[in-house]
Amino acid sequence: MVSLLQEIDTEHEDIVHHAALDFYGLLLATCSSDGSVRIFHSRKNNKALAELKGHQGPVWQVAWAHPKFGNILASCSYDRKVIIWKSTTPRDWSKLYEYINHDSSVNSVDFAPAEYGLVLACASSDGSISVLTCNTEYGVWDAKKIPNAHTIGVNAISWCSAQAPDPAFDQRVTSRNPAVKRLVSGGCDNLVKIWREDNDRWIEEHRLEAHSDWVRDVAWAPSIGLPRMQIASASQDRHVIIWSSNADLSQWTSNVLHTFDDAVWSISWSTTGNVLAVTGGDNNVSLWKENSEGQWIRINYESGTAIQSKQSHQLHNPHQQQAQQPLNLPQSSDSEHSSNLSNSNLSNSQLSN
Amino acid sequence: MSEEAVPIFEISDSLATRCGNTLTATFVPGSTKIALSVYRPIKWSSRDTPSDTAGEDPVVISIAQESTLYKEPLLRSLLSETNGTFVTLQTLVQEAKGTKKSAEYLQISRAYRSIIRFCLEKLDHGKKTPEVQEDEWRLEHCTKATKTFYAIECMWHLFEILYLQQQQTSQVIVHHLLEWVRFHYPNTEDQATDLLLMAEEASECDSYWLTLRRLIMLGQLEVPRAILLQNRKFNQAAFQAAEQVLKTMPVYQDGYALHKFNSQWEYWHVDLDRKLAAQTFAAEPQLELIMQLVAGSNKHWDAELVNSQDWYEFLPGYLLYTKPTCKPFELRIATTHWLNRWSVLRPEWQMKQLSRMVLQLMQHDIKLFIYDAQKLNDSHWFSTHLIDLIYHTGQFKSYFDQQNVDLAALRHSMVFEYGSFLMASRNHWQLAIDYLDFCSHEGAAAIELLLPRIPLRSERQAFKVLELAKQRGLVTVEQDICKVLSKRAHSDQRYGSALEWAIRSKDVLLVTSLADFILKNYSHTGVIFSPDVLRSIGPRMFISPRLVFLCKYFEFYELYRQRDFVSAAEPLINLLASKITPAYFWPSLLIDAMPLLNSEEPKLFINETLAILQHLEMELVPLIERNKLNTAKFDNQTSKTIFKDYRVENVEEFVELMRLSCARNMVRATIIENRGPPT
Repeated sequence: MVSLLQEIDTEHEDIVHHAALDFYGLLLATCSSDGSVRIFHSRKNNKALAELKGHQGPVWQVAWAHPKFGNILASCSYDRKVIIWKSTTPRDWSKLYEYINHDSSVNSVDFAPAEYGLVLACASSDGSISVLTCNTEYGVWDAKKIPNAHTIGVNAISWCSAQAPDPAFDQRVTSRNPAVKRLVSGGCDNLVKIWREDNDRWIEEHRLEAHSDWVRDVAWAPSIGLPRMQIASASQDRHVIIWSSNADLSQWTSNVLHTFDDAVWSISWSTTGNVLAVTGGDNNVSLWKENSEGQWIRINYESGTAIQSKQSHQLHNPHQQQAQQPLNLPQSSDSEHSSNLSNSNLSNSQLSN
Repeated sequence: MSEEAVPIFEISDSLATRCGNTLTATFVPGSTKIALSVYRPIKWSSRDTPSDTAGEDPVVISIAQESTLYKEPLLRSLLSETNGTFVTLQTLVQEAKGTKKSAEYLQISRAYRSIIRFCLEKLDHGKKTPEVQEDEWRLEHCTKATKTFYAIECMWHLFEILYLQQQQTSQVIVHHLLEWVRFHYPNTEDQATDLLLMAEEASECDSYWLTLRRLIMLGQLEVPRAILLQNRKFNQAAFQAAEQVLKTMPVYQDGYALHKFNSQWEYWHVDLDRKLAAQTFAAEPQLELIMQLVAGSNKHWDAELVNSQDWYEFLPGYLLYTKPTCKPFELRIATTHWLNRWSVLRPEWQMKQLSRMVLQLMQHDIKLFIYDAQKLNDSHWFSTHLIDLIYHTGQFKSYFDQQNVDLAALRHSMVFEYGSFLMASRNHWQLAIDYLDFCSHEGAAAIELLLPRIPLRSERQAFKVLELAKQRGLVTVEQDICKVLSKRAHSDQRYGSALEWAIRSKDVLLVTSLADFILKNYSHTGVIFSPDVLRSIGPRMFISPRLVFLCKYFEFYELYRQRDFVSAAEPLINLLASKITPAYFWPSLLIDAMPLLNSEEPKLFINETLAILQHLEMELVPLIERNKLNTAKFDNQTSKTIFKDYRVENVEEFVELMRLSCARNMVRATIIENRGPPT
């Protein structure tokens, strides 16, 4: 069963496009069509700690940098700007850097794994991707641009983690160098592209074709030491595709997670990459995980798989049955955890005694 | 994959249902929480205007989490104790490679069970305390937890009897089953105690015979005998005969020869049947009913079963009177027969989860049992620990192979998931590490991902996390944590601490920038931050040339402040001669030299004075010129903008003074040195 821990009233004047939590999950940053970014404590239902004003249009996305660089937040907006903010206390924010070299709305920002330093990737509707690198010694920013990354526009961007599989555990992995930076992007040309930095230049390493409509979100899964990488992509074609690579990332295979009832707008990996949250036009959040046989299954919480928004003023769970208690022998209520044995192990006929 | 009714959790966010809005979710880093908010897809046709819903509904971020029982503080010890037992089991396996240690496995199983029982006791006790009574949430949680763990104990106990214990002792399981069922149906025994206390009056009690029948059906012989003994009519023949039958009933004990027991038992049974046929107990119909039950008369058992609580309640008792030497593999058939009978007697009765799982155990349907065990709301506590134990005993290997279940992979993923779950729920991360340590490289990778995300609330906690990272050789994690702490200390203006953490992080850039910060601040204000830390750095200074400079300068600074000018001169000269002085610090260093130059008793000799003069002309003057040029375009050029030092008002004047002082000191030094060094 899922329970609601708290509701934070952002007091934004218009819809929030993105909410991001910092590295420790303690501070929440929200960005809205009203052009502002707000900072909250994620565990208290209190008022905003700070309001960051600097954009002249809807702010699409925010991203937190690793705390070893200090408290640093990036925001991107319809006004073509990317602003990097810095704070000394959660209430006290100032602009650290402003990047204005895109010709159209900037849709997505993502900080690179901290191992690479303070590096930010930005995806824009002008079809290009910018990679901003900060020289932390002098506080100088350097920008590299990938022009024409996706025609019509780039919608989403995500970094490959810097953790390479440890050769001590797996002898097969030899050719991966953790210092190689990689990015994945998704765009209006229905493509998912993987980019690799090669001698100060970014080159297109792979072009993944499988979607038949705009790709709206891409997310590179955290690496948990397996000799492969995974990327999830979500598209308006109602598909979520899981792309899996071989050990040296030279080959990618696609696996359609599921065909949803409506366009899929966003996806999110859990910290260890074992659960994927998918949200789309059907007003549902569903959680997925890969079982030991490599199949993707919808997490079978006996109550509460999907999280849905309905105009109900009471939280209720129609499936939770109140178990009757026969004297002192308790009946554990049929409940809530996912099952590790997939349904493929146990057929339905076997299950219904 | 089955798409059967997926249960739904709803949030009440009215904005999400308007104008084509929908919902989006992001995982909260390092935890199992999910942040939910309304989402409005922007399409190519979207117009750049405030949305239709602007300003109408509150814009809310909801944070949701899969609920768990372990928020209840009373369960904390359950988690930490099981963690201990889990680790014991893993080390046991590692030590005893290849050898079968079924006795130890049995002990581990009992240890787990005693933890549950202790926890149940604690919950029971806790529920009566005012702080729980007054807290509705806690009371509800305690009740839920009691139910769940009661069921778990019940099943674990049965599992132990059927699958772990039988290897140890004889194959005869009836008396173990009796013990199990007695523990889980203590009501009858409570009533029996009441009857015993009432002594002679007991027989007037309404439930007297009912309780006796129940006791007999639960396979108890001693207690009913004691109760009957107190009966006023005990001296009558029927009672005496009953006592005789109950007393002489052969009870199987370990080590008995089975065939010998069987013949004894047969003899006793035939004798009882004969007595019943001879109407020995006819004078007392209630007593006769009891003897019919003891004889295993199906008709009489059926009549009683109609009122029983669960299908398995009286199964062990029935076996005692009909098949006392039942072996585990025979239990399966006995169970099937028994259940058929039960369902005929109680057609309306519905199998609940616990009853179903007990059945699965008795019918040796371990796979289904495990599947169901994963659905308990214990966040996989039971299934993880049980599967881990099953895996290590190696007992079900062939069974799982037949069923096409990769037990090793299953155990691995269960332990991994459980560990990740604990890691992500803030209070238990230290326990989680032990689980993740025992699932190979994926566990190690998860530790590396999750450990740095533990919020560092205090230095103590930071040290704990650092220690764990160090033990596992996670150098990057260790260094990142130090850097974070350094940054944090810096923004809290705890500069000494910031420097300490920076040095620990081994990040040269970070150390240099902090040393710069301290030096610059000194030249502007004359205050040296955190002298204690600087004093204790010692050989660690060599991480960064700037830090070396800072420490060396600090040495001079201390001597100077103690007015030990002669000793102070030496480090100063060394600093002047060294090539590590940062450009911005030259003025400060030269100003420091001034009082030594002006001293009546020369502290600096010719060569040193020459060096100072050289630095003045070669380093400082060009620096001033450069700064003048750089700031020339500003109208408000003052000596402040040319260089900043708290001790200098006018730059030009200072340079002149400096030259003069050098010249004077040179003269004095020349005179003294010409006389030769004083002895």
